[in-house]
Formats: sequence, C-alpha cells, structure tokens
Amino acid sequence: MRRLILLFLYFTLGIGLTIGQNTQIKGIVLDGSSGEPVIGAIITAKGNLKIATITNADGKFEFTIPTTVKRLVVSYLGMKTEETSVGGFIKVTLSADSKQLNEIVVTGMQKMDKRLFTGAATKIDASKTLLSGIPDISRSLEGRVAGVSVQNVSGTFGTAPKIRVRGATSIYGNSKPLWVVDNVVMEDAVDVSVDQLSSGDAVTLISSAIAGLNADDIESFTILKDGSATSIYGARAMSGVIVITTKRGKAGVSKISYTSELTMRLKPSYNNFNISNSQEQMGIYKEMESKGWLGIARMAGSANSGIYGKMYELIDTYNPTTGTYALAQTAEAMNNYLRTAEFRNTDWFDLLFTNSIVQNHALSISSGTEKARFYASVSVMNDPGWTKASSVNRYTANVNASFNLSDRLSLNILTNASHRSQEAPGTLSQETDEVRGEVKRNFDINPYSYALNNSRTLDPQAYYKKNYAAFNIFNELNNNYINLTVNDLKLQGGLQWKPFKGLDIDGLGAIRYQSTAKEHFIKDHSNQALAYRAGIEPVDAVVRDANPFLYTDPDDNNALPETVLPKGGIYLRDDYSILQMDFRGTATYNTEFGSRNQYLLNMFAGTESNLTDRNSVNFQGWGYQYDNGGVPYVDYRLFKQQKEENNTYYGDTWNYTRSMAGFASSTFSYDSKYILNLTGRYEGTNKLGKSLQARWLPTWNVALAWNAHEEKFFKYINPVVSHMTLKTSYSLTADRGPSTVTNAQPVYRSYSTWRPLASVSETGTELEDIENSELTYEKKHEFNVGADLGFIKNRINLAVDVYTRNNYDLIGQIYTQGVGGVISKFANVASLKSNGVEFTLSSKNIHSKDFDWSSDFTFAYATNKITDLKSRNNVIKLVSGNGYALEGYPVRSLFSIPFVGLNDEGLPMFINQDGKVTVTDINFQEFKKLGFLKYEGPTDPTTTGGFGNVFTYKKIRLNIFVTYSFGNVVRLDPVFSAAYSDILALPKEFKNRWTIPGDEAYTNIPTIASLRQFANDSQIAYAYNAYNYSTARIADGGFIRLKEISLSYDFPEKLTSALKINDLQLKIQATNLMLLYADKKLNGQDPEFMNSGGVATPMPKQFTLTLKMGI
Amino acid sequence: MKTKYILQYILIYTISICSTSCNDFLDKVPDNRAEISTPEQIRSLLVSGYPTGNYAVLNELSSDNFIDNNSPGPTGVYYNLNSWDKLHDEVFAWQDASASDEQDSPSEVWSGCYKAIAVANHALQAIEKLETEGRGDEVKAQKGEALLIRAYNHFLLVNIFAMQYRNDILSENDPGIPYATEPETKVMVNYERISVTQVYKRIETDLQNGLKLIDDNYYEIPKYHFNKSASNAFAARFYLFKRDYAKVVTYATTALGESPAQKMRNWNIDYPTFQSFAYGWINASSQNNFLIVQTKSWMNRIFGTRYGCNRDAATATLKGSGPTWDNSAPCYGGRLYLRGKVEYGLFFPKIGEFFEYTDKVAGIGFGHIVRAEFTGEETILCRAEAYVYLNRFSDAIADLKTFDDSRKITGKTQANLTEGLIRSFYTTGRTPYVNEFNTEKISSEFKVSTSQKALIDCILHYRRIETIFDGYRWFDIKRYGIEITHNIGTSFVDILKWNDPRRALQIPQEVIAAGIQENTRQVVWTNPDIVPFTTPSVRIDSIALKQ
Repeated sequence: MRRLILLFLYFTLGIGLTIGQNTQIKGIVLDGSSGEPVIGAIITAKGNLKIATITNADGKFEFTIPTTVKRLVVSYLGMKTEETSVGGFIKVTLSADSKQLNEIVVTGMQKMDKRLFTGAATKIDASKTLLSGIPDISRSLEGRVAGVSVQNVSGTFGTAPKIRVRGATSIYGNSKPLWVVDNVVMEDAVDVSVDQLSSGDAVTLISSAIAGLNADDIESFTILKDGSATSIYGARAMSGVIVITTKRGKAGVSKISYTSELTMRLKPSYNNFNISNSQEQMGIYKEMESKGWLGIARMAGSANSGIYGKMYELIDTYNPTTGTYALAQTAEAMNNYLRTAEFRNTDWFDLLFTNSIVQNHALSISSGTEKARFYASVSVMNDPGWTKASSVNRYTANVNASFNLSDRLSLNILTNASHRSQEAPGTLSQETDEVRGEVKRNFDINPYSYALNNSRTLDPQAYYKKNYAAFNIFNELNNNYINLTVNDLKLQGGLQWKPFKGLDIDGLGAIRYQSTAKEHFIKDHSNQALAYRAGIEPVDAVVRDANPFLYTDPDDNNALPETVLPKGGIYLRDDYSILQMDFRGTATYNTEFGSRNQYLLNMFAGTESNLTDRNSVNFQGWGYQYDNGGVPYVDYRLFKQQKEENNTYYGDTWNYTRSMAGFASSTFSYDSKYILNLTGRYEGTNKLGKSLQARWLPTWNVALAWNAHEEKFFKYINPVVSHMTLKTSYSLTADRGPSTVTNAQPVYRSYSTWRPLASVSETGTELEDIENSELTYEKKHEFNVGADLGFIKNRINLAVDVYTRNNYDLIGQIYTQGVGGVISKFANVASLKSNGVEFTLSSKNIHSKDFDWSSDFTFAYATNKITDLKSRNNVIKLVSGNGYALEGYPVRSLFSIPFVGLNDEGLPMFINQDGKVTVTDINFQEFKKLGFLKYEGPTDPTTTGGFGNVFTYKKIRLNIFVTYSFGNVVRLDPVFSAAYSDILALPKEFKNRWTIPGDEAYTNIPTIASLRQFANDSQIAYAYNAYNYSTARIADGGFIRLKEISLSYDFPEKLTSALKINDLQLKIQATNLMLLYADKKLNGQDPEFMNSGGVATPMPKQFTLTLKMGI
Repeated sequence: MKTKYILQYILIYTISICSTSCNDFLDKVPDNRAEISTPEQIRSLLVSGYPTGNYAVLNELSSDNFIDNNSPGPTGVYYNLNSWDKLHDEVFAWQDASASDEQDSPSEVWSGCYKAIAVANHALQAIEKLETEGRGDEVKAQKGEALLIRAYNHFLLVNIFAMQYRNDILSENDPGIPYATEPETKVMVNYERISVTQVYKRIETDLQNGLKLIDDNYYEIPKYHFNKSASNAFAARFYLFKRDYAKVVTYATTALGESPAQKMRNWNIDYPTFQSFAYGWINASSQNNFLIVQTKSWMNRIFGTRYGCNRDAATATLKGSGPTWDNSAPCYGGRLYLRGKVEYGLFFPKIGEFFEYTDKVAGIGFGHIVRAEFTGEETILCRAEAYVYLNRFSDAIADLKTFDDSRKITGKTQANLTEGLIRSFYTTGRTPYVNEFNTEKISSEFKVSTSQKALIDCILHYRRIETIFDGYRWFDIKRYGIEITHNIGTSFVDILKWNDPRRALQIPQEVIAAGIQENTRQVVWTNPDIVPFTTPSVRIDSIALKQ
C-alpha cells in the first residue's frame, strides 16, 4: 500500500520537487538469484519518502537528491529491502525474501506457510526439472520426487504414463493421482483403466489430462503425498494429488521470452534386439518346411503367408504374353528365390522410422504493475513423426491476467486453449478372448511391433498375404490410419476479497470443454478393406469358404459366402467430449494473539460443486468410397449381418458426474514451534446412488508438527544440524472406486438380444447389474511420520517420510449365493495394506565463486499386500498379463508355471496342478490347486527414484540425471507357439532350439513341433502356451536409466546487450540415452514399455537443442 | 459492520441453497442407463427374462444318453480321447462339479436361472408400483409373463439341483431351492432352501396366477416368450411331474389345439447343409415350436470327444429300432453327422452351434445353442402319458400315433402305429431302449399296472428320441427312479440307484462357500455299486478334433 502511494507520488509530482543543493546519482538494481535487472524497484531517500524514483526497464535508475541524503532504501515486492550509501555508480543486489515467497506450499486450494504445513509434499521447480523435447510434462516427473513412480508404458504423444504416488491404493480402481491445474481439478476426458493404459488402443492417445499444457508455461509442480497434505481433497485424494501452477505476470517485470526446441530421435536398431537376421530366419523356415508346415497345399488355404506363400503364388502366376510362369517350378528356381530372401536382411526399423526433427516453439509475454499483472503465451509443436503415420501438431495459448480492483478486491482471469491434430497407424481395440484368456488385436500395423514381429527375409516392396488378402506394410500405413483432433478450452475466473485484515474470501469458477474427434480411415485398397472381399474378388472358392469376414445368409439354405463390402473402404469415427464446471468459495482467516503474538491461528473453510459430463459417439461408415469422391456404397446385407451378429453401426453414450463438498481446515501454532492441524471434508457424489448414507462421506486428518530448530536447545547442535522439523499425521481419505462399478441402484441397459436370425431379433432392456445398496467409497487410513533435516547451514538437506496405509472398503470380488441373479459381485469387500519409506537427499557438494556442484538423490520403497479378497482366480489369470490380484500378495502379482526342462522330443515339461511332470496336462482353468505356481513378484516396481547431479561452471551448466526402478518382474514376449507362419520373425533364442534327441541336456528352448506332432496331439498348443507363461520366460524388471544429460550455456551479458536482448541460453540434451542396468534376459525389450501394438511406441533415444531468449 | 452483514448473508444463502438443492443436484443418474417404470419398459425388460445357461450338457452327461468312449464297448474296443472340458469328467462320474464356472457349468445354470428370476422380480416390483397407481390393467400381460418366467426358472432349478418330486408328504423332507420373490439389494444375503414340496406349491401359484394373464398380442416375437401355447405346455409338463394327470390333459389340449397333427414338425423339408438344418430346427415359424430360448453354450463341441451319444445310448435314440421301424429312426436316417469317427462322434443338427463373433480374425466369440424349449411333440407325449395313467389307452395311442406319423418320411415305408405293435415291441427285449423304472419306490400313491407298462415304456422311449440333447431324459430318469449305469474309463462301473442322492446335482461350489446348504453326498469311491471292469479291451488311439 505504501509503495503504491509512493508510485503515485512519483508519477504525479515527478522528481523536480526537491530544493536546495542537489546531487545527481545513478545506479542499477539486480536480482541476486538470477542476476537479472529488477524493473520497477523503488528507491527512496532514507528518512524522506517524498524523494523517490523507480528503476526502468533495464533496472537502472537516475535521479537528483539533496546532498543531505546520505543513504537510500531500495525495496521491491517479494525481495528483502536493502539500504545503500550514496556515492558513485550504485549497484544494489536484492535477494528474495524467503519468508514471503519461497516457503509457501500450494495445495491447489490454499497457500500455506511452509512452517505451518504438516503434510508430506514435494515442490519441484519446472525450470530445473522439465525435460526438453518431451512435450508431455507428466513424464518429466520420473525419478524427481521420492514416492512418485512414473512408468512410460507407451511413449506416444498424448498417452499418459502410469503414475503412482506411493503405490497402488485400490485393487480394481485405477490408483491415478488427481491432477489440479491452477486450483482446478483436471478430469480425464475418457476413463482409461490401468490395463487399458498399456493396451495400445487408440483411446490411450487422449488418456493424458495435461497433454494440452505447454511445458514452458509451467511454473512448478507440487506433489501432495500423505493424508495430511491431500485431506482437503478428501474423498478424491486417496491416490495423491499433483498440483500444477502455471506462470503468471510479476509486478514490475516486463519480459518477452522465446524458447525453441529442436529434437531428433534415433531409429531403433536391430543391434539392440535379438531378432533373427534373414539367414537365421531362413534356417528356421527350412526346418519348418521339412516338418511339413510350409507345403504348397497348406499355404494356399492359409490366411497369412510370407516367403513360401509368395513363392507358390509366383509359381502359379502365368504370363500369357511371355508364355512363362513368374517363377519356374524347378528346384533350382525355387532355391534361387529362397536364397535371395535368405540374404535380404530387410531393416524394417530403418524403413519404418525416420530421424525427422520435432520442433517446439514457445513465445510468452509477461508484464505487470502493482495494479495489474499479465502473462500470455503461445506455442507450436510440430512432430513430423518418428514412425510412418505418427505426426503431431499442437498449438497452445495461455493467458493469465490479474487485476487489483481496489486494495480489498482483486480479480483473476485465466484462459487456456489448445488444439492438437495427430496421426496414428490404423488400429482396432484389443479384444480379450474370454475362452482362451488371450489378448488379441485385429489388423495391427503398428510399425514398431511390425519391425519386431515380421521376418527380415521379406521384400519390403512385395505384397504378401494377411487375412487372405494382399498386404504390404507401407501400402497399409498409407491407406489405413487414424486422424485425431483434440480441442481443449478452459476459462477460469477468480475473485479475491479482503473485507478486513486477516480475512480472505475467494471465489472461483471454471469451465472446461474438450472435444476429440478420432477418424479412422480404412481406404479402398487397404488390406483391412480387401479382407472383406477376399475370395469373392478375385474369386477363390477355397478362400471364400474359409474367410471369416464374408457373410453367409442364414435365411437362405443354399447361400454361399458373399461380401458385405463389395466396394469402398470403411470410415470409423469416434467423438469424445467432456464438459467440466467447477465452482468454489473459500474463506481464510489468519490471526495472531497472545502477549508476544505467539499464538497463530489459520482457519480455512469452503464449499465446492463440480459437474462433469462425458459423451462418446461412435459411428461406422461402411462402403465409403475414398477413391470415388467419398460416395458411400452401402450393401443392405451389411445391416442384416449386423443385426444377426448383434452389432450396431453407431452408438452414443453419456456419463454424468456430479459432486459437492464442504471442507474446513484449521491450523494452530504456538511460537512457530508446535503446530496442530485439523482438516475435515464432507463430500457427496451422484455415483454412489440415492442413498444419503452411501453418497455422503466425511473424511478427515489430524496432524502435528514440531519445529525443533526454534527451540532454545537447538543452538547447541547448530550449525551441524541447522534445521529440524518433525511431523506426523493420521488421516482418512477416499476415492470413488472403479468407474465400472455403478450399481448403487439397479443398472438397466437397453440391448439388442442375440438371436439366430434377423427376423426374430428384438431389442430389450437388460438387467445389467442388480442393486448394491451398500456401495460406498473406497477408503484409506494413513499414518505418516516425517522429518525435514538441514545440516551444515542447510548445505545438506534430508527429507524423510515413513508411512503405513490401510486401504479398506475397496471394491473386490465376492461370491454370493447367487439367488439374486448374480453369483460373483463387485462390492466394497476387499482390503489392502501398504508401507513405505521415502527420502530426498539434496546437497551442495561444492560451492565456490565459479564452480558449483549439487546433487539430489531420491529414493522410495513401497510394498503392498492384499489382506482380504475372496476372488476366484484361475491359472491363466495369474500367469498372464500385467499381474493379477490374489489375497496375500501385492496388487499386481505375477506367477509362473514351473518349467522343468525339455523331454526327449524337445517339448517343454512342467509341474502341473497335481504335482506331476507333464507336457500338455496343464489346466489353465484350474482355480483350486494353485499351489504349484511359482510366485515371481509384483509387476509394479517397489523401489523407485532418481539421482541428479548439476555442475555449474560460470555460465555453463551440466546436468546428469539417472532414474532407477527395482523390485518388479516382467513377462518376456510370448514368442513360442505350436505352429509358426512363414511371415514371423523369431528371436535369436531359436538358434539354440532343440533339434535332435540329446539336445535337452544343453538347451531349454523347445523344438519347432512338426505337423505330425501337432496333428497327433490336439493338446500340444497347451505345452507352448504354458512355456510362454513358465518360469523360463520371466525377467527382472529392475533398471537404471541414463535419463538425461544436458549441457547449457548462458551467453555473457556483453554479447546479449550487444544483441539488445536480456539473456540467451543454449542447451543440448540427450534423453533416454541408455539403460545402465537391465536384466540380460530382456534382450532389448524395454522394461518400462508394454509392447502391445496399436498406437504404442517406446520412449525414443533423442537429442534436443534448446534456445532460450529473453527480451 | 457492513462486512459482517454481507458475510452473514453469504453464509445463510449458502446453507439454504445447499440444504434444498444439494441432493437434487446429486440425484442425476450417472449415465444413460434405462429406467423401468412404464408398461413398455417392463415389456422390454422381460425380453431378458429367459435363461442363457444351457442345462442340457449337465443333464445329458448325467443321463444314459451319453456314454464314455474311453470305456470298452461290447467288443472290448475303447478310445483314448480327451474330454472337451474337465467338468465333463466330473459330471459324467456324478461327482461334485468344480472344474469350471463358465458356460454349461452348474454355476452358469444356477445364476442364469436366478438372473431370469431377478428380471421377473424387478419387473413385478415395477408392476406393483403401477398397480398401486391404479394402472394395473396396462400391465396384465407383463405380469403374466413375469410370473411364468419366475415359475419356469424355479421349476428348472428344483429339478436340476434337488431330488425328484415324489409326493407332497415325502418331498417335504427333501431340500429344494430358495424361492426368490424380491429383488436382492444387499451384497450378501442368506437364503434358505425350502422343501421340494414347498417349491412346487409356489411354482403352482405363480403358474396359475400367470396363466390367466398371458396375452399373445402383447409380444413382438411371441415364439421367444411365454405365449399361450408355451405357457400351457409348461403347465402340462409341470402337472405331469406332479402327477396331476387330469390337469396335464387340460393344459396340453389347450396348447395343442383341435388338430395336434398340425403342431408336429415337418420332417420332409430337405436341408442341404448342417447349418441350414440347424436354422430350420429352431425356426420360429415352424408350427411345432412353442417356445424358443437362446443359450450360450459350447455343447456342440462335446461331440467327437470323450463323451458321446454312442453304443447303447445311440441305439436307444438316434440309430436303434422302434415299434414301427427297424435299425434307424427314419427321421434321423441320413441326417446324422459325426466328428472324428462314427464309432464315437455322432450327433444331430439339433445342437448346431450359432457363433456370435466378438472378434472375427481371432475367431473369438460366443457359441450359442438355441433350444426349442417347448414343442408340440413333447407336449403331446406329456398328454399321452397322462392318458395312460387315466386309463384312456385309446387316446394315448392316438397321441402316440400322431407323433409317430409326423416322423414318416416321404419315400420311406413305415408301419402305422397300433397298440399291438407297441405291446409286442415293448414286451420283448426292451433294453436298452428303456431301463427298469421304480415306480413303487418313488411314491406310495403311484402304481403302474401291467397294462399301462408297455405304453409307458413306449412313451419314455419316444420322449428319449424326441428330446435327445435337450436334457429332458435326465428329468424322466429322476421322476421314474430309473436306475442307470455309467461305465467310466477302463476302471469301473457305477450304478445310480433310484434314491441315490447324486440325482440332485450338487449346488455350485462358490454358492456353497457363500453359505447355502449343500446336497448330501455318499462317499462315491466306497459305493458298493461300483464294480471293477472285467471285459478284455483293445485301446484305439484317435484324434479328437476340436473346432
């Protein structure tokens, strides 16, 4: 206030008011931490407030003062006020007033003085941690915060990494932390479950809630970990909260910043994978041929074929003009053909990936006065694609304006907009085979998995056979792709009112709308479209009778299979939208009392209501003629078939979430030494039915902290121990449970019954789920003890937290008597216990004038165990996939079938459910006798962290950052099968496969079964399936990754001032350079990445050049 | 002071807004789910009131319609085949089934029937609400259908999972099944098994109340719902099981109408393929199909594996002689299919599988078996049986002749059925067509005279032929106390006595674990009826091809 008046005085009265003997003085004010000039700092004569000036845009000041003035006072908001004597060119360096700004914890609801904060929270500065060239900021959190694990299950832009704050909190729920951006919860546009996240489905492209945020706009992250920190979010906060604060304008600082990032990604290389080269592969084919798999008759009728299939096709292709066949049917010609393939060694990675440069440009303007502050930015990201068909363009705009209407009232307006258009290879969703427990995807053309799974003997120009139709990967990527368009807009307004000292009343309203259009183009000449006509066009009776994509009219007794897609391709469209509205009113009251003002009371209370409407519309346009100007050609039989097969060509689904909450928190401190915090929240949601008992839930927290360094005795151990805070909390937080469980009231859903013929089909209403009047929130009790310690004048800082959690009322499976219509139900019957310890050790190892070395080490260890879950698990569920829940084990546990070696026919042998050694007698459906399975470990890591070192020499900064993760197991890719086709690429392990009796003494790699073996034993596939899920096919998931090496250089002032700019920085960064440690058995398989095809690609190795410029 | 007032105002305003509108705001239904309140919505709900579980696999394996191909036949030949599902081994050996809770398992049948009952109960709750609003007239037909659904599904459950109905007094001591009349709203509810007598009484009440309200005009596709014919056919079957023969005649006659011959299947249609025959069998416009029910089932896949309808089982049904034919039932002649070899993999297009793809490339989806749950043939055989016990032999023979005539194929000669043919055929060499039945032991009130016996034998044989693969033979075995024998593998022979508690299929394992009373069992392996195998045998290794 005082400064405002001064400013006013300055502008109105000017500087010429003073009389008497004057002297002219000049000087500059600099920011001590950044070295940047401070614009708008106020300089007054000590003792005479009327003599004053402010610094200009260069931080310089110049004014005339009476000679009587001996000292000047320099002040600036947020900085410590300094005094200086008059004389010569005055240089004043201001340092940040840590009491005022730095020691504040932002919870997204309120700002708390850190000394009064009792919870476990970590704040990280975006400028220091964000990885250049990684546009999705959530990935930058990996290894930065103790207790936060980030697993990049897919590296594709828009897909969310799997983030856990202190591990799993639910068994079937998604355990995702809550994202809060500028005080507003960011709801996910679509609800993507944990398993779906690693599925590679196209919907994962919009699974990241914050993909629309420009990294350059982020000021900081705060991760709220324990119940004390998160309890203000109560019934939503069970899995932790990540608060993002974006940049805003600063009073007195006007700045234009420009950041440019150029990123180049390396192509993957066969050197890193153990895929057979074409010679090795041909050796395997030769054996397959001799074992009867690749005979001409067999290949003609097969759905997929490669080298051999092509060879037989050429032999059969007659050229009437030359009178010859494309390939002569002689042993010599055939051998020549195969020899060419043997030496082809196609490098699919080289052909399907590019080194193209990703560009990211961001421009921001920041300006402000005491009255108004302003920050605006725009950014453009252009990614031409690491693989064919994977380009991204993203544009963002962000405006943050604050205005002080009066000294009691201020207004804040925030808008955030982004547009994204992305291309991805065409993919359908993964489907689970309920009979065999396998996960499959039709028409998968993911370039990464194509390169890994397709033989290097194949000619990249040639067309082979998939789904009975011609297939070439390049043709397919050009003719079968997805275009994704995402528009995201957020408008937010806030009003702050301070009616009297100590009381702050805040009102906040926000609306966000995101719409996504996913268009999947399957063009006329794509394999996927041709598969619907194979056998009809061209006519081939064998194919016609085998092709499952053809339609046979059941109403006609004599019908032959016919196509329902005689012309054109398919146009699939999915639209997702989310509308989110939030309103919140809060009041904060701060007061100090007592003789020395030693008692401090902070009271905070508020209410909020949220509304989220999600909509998804899907549409299938069959017979869209891309080649013919887009005229749809619709065959009536398609609709008849869809009716009979119980499919629909469009759908529209809505989801509505409504919630309301009231909350209050009060903090009481005595002498800044002893702090007590109490928080409560009462929340209701429509998801939990109409019962008032179930829909409303109170959550709470009690916490204590002790600032030992404020005690008198502390001086005896200071400065060896310079800071010590101990804190403890006990809390109840909750979550709504998996989104699939919604049966607080009976769930009726319209459906169309499956009937054998269209003529008798009927629509009906299904009783999808019976009522569970007892459905309630999943809950968590957490006890946390933490310490913040500073040693040697805080040069070494250690933050330690130890916690134990009891998760109860979790949604789990339960078996009932079934008389109500359902035997197996999902209800609040399960519980889970978890424990953990985490610490962050930061130290300034060397601190000198020119050289600094600081390091940060984070470590977290967390385990969990399901203590109550009465589910029925069978072998296949426990040994496959991403881990499964079983009582007495961690949430995602993986088991293996014990492998004991090969038999004298080269077939794998196992211990089965009856304890006997067997080849095929494994009952995958067994659910009682599970004791024979070997417990391998959890699939989620138990130990995670990072180790960062920053070296600064003058203007050069070197950053080396390593992340690590241990304690989990990974299932190796299931490559073994009873039958292989001549299109598959097989791993190098096959070199050591069993070939002749006696080999079983030396190798564990099963033989390639002969056609005779296959025909004789109908169960032989069980042996190979079991092998894929056996103890032989498991690896340790632990790794140490060199995540980042970067070198940056700040150009000296001399140069920048010559260029008339404020600062200029150049940075080179290498990301994901290598794994310093990983289990050798993985053979190049990335332990973080789930290779599930679809749109999933791993995080690439990349190099980024960043230019930052401030004007 | 002014500030203070504003604060107070805000506080009061907030509280008053919240107390009135909070719960309205939160009453929003979370997604676009349907609601059940109008008569049309109730009608729509009842479309899902038919069980999707197929009990035929359990019943056929339990009965004498299936044999173990791995057990030596009369020539000593046996095979070495894998069962399609380990569950089949358990069910065939009359053991507690626990290998599967998926399609065709006891769990699926139990929950399928109770799910249908739950649908009926939810519908009845909505109907009751409309009735209290005075709109009962609009939902009469709905109420009729819901009551029939509830009665029929309990009827299935009690006949599968409990001992046979003997009479009201004797069956009072046999545990039946819980009779559900209310929607379940809590996670864990304990139910009590009421006696078989009590279950039958409640079924009768629902059946009688529902029957009056059935209205064919209300259905969109009547053949897939309890239409008039189907409801009366059910009543006929119910009273046959309850041995109330006069009522059987009444209801069967209503179902069959004036000319029962018009309600028989036309066997002279020529179907060129297996699948077209399968479609023809469950054709809704076929006059003999009263009620068609679709189920999820892999039953078709059982053929060609360890258990099948072969040897004695085939001779008594698909391929044997009868009073008016030799060697092979004329209707099945030329229409039998086999998987693997004729010696073990014989079947008939009745159990043609209809595959619903969820994923075409992977070949993933649901196998469906569509059941003709009530037919003219089965109903006329119910009536014939009732006529015999009412000593109206000529009426019984007339019905049997109607049935027999319908199976005459053009171009093949077949004698006209007469009482003489019946008596001569069923008095000599009856086995293996019909096994001994123990009427005296079932019910003290139930006697079969010598003159009735040949006719009953004929009816049971015809029923067995007609209902092959439907599972009804097992119900006949239960209600007549017929002793049957299963040769299991090469190791032993097991005889199921008339009063063996294993005639009540064990309640699903997880349901027992949830606290319901289980069926008592004898210790099977010390059963004195199990005798070791002595026949010399020849093993043939063959391939069982799975589809």
